[in-house]
Amino acid sequence: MSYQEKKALLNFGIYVIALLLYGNYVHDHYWVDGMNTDELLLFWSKVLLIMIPVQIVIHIVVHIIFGILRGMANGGKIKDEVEDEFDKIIELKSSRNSMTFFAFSFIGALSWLASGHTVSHFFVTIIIGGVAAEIIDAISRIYYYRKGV
Amino acid sequence: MAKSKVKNEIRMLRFMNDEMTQQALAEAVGVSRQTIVAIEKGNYSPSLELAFKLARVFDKQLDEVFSYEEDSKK
Repeated sequence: MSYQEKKALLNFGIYVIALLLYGNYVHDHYWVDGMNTDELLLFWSKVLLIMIPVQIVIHIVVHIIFGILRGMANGGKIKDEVEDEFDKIIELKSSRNSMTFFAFSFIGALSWLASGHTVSHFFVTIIIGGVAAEIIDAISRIYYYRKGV
Repeated sequence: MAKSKVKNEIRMLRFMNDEMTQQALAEAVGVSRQTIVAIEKGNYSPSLELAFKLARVFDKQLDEVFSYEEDSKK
């Protein structure tokens, strides 16, 4: 398995673990049964707004840790990994796939709302869509690196 | 993923060029080894700029390194 494939898998794994830990923490500390729609909107918007920077920080930390681990595996030598045109095309195509999926999940979430479900259904669908989009991104990267573009 | 119609002689040229490694070629043109592997396998058609760089490493013309599949049918 190549450097890029390992990185894609590690990024996805850490993303899911962080999301589960964060979701568990939020549920334990901030979730209250019987919230009305206004309170639910406030709760979910805060959850998502905080989640975005948390995920960005996690991705940066993963990048640093991955670099250190690679350095250790190479006997202390840190090789500069070139990001070339092949990597950029794969990144663009993978992002396209995941964004397309996320757009559909957003439409799905809106459909929940339109059909009379609660705000929580809307936001949970968006979060699940986000996780699924990350899966698609990771799978797309591995697929394109193995099969070409 | 469909194979590229752009064929290349990079593997043979590397061999003829003192059995140059993929890593050495990658460093010479400023890409990763994985990109060279993908090009050699026909899984990726490089940009024109990279194609010229590759040809220059072997001191060849572009059409001596790369060819379009339909050319061989002529």
